Amino acid sequence: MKKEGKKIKLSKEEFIYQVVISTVLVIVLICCVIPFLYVVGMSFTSEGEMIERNYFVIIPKKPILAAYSYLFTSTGFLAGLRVTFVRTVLGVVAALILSVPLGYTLAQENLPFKKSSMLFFIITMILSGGLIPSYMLMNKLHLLNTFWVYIVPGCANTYGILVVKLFVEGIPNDIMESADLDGASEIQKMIRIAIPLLKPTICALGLFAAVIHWNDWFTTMVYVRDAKYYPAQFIVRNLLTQSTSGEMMSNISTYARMTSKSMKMASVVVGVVPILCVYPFLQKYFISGMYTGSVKG
Amino acid sequence: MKNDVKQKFKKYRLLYPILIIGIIYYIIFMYIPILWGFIISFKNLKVGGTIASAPWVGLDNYRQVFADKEMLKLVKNTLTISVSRLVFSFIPPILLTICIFDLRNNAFKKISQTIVYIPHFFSWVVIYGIAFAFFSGDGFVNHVISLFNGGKTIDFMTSTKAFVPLLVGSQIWKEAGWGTILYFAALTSVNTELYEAAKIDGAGPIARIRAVTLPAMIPVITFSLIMSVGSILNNDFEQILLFYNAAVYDVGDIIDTWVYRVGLGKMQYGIGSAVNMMKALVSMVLIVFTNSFSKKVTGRGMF
Repeated sequence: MKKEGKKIKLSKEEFIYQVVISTVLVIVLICCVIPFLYVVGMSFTSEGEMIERNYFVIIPKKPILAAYSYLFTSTGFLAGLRVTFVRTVLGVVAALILSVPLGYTLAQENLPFKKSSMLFFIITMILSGGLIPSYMLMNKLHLLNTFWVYIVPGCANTYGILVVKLFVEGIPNDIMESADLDGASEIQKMIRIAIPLLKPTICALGLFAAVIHWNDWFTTMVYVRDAKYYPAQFIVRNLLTQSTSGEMMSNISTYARMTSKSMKMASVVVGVVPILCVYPFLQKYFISGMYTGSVKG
Repeated sequence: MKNDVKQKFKKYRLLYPILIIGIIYYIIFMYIPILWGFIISFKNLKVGGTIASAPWVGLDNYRQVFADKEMLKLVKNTLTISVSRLVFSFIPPILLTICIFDLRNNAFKKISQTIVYIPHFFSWVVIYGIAFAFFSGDGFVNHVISLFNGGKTIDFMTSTKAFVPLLVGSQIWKEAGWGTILYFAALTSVNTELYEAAKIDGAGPIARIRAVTLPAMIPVITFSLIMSVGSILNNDFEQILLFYNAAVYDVGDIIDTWVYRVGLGKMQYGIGSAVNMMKALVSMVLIVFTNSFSKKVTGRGMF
């Protein structure tokens, strides 16, 4: 890193360079933010204003909430958010409940069959049965069309096992040895020593699992038919891919009426806002988690 | 010696239940599907039949796959899409890393980092929604175009020409920022003295990038390049499943989407499994090979 804080006079070349990269970054940031703002704007735009402004509206003059009230009252979206919320919480538990103890176990230096056990787990990262046999398995286990199809298969978190193993191996030996002298069992050592030391890592793993669960729609598409188990993202997906949005209130002024597009955009907004709300608080965990993966995967 | 092993078993006796539960779980949820996929690919499994009762058909499913002209298209599309991804989405995170890393203004640096990471956390559904808002027949881009060419619009979402660029573009939008983290990790370990020395030598920004920054990034760049070659058969299936539609099957149908739509959807279990089996084996070989290659060249691998 360069020395910060010291005000050194920049050479002309350096100054030009700073201007260039700043400009590039400003453009990149605009490209990141504008699409989202446009979507937000659209979600508040009424049909009347769309027609008046020739279907090209970035910031509506008279924003309306019709799209949102339709979304929350007539599409099962609230129930979807509830499904998403519950599966996210349980999904995080599932992602950690096997991988943390397994990672700890596989980190033990003298564990008999350590190498072959590692191989057993790692193979599943590069070879999988694919959709067809998985579908049959879920059928056989009576998980098809149930809420638990979101949770139970999620205990397989091989990446988590590897990360936890790596970090437990990094715990200094003397800490573990002094616990041995105190007569602590392996389980006690795991719960009292390793897990507290691994808190940031476990947080990061949990957060990644939470994002996966929050964003998942594909599991529903393959395994779930029953609308009462639809998570929010799947409902958004359905709203986006259907060509018309069904019946819209017809006997009110066009300036209070939403378009099918504004309804679609409202669903997109509601799909990301929760993530945007928690992201600033959790950013450091995400990034430390990613660093972890990159130091030695 | 025997005693020694016994001792070890005794020491870890409480951990073995954990290991055994893990192994049983993985056998059920990971290995059984692999086994079933393998078996089904040699059987003629009909709807309502069971794997055990379905008749063996030897290599028939595989022969059918090779005879089917459709397959060639699938392989071609799979490779076209992933090679375009590789080529176009590889450079942006590197450039972005250098731009952010070299910024002098710390506040601006922090803000940039925070913002460019965000799209990574959007689901593909959301990204599809945003793409729809911009590129559909009455989307943002078409309104801009129609200002210039007198109201003619193009629906990019159903255009075969726009399909691959849309996939690659939306992937860059989603992942380029997040991709910088890997490179930042490499840059934080650079010796500051190198930058001091570069300054004393009177090196300008370009010389500095060439002499210090890039060399520090090269191992990670090589690593991620090799790894993306290894996963060349594994496209972002979810993304394609959202973006493609009947109008663009010609360019958008890849192996995975075909297995989903025809294999699972139209219940061609045997052929679907045969296709999947071949893909899984080829991609496993590729990943194992590139992984050991990467370990040799850069000293790091995925596992």
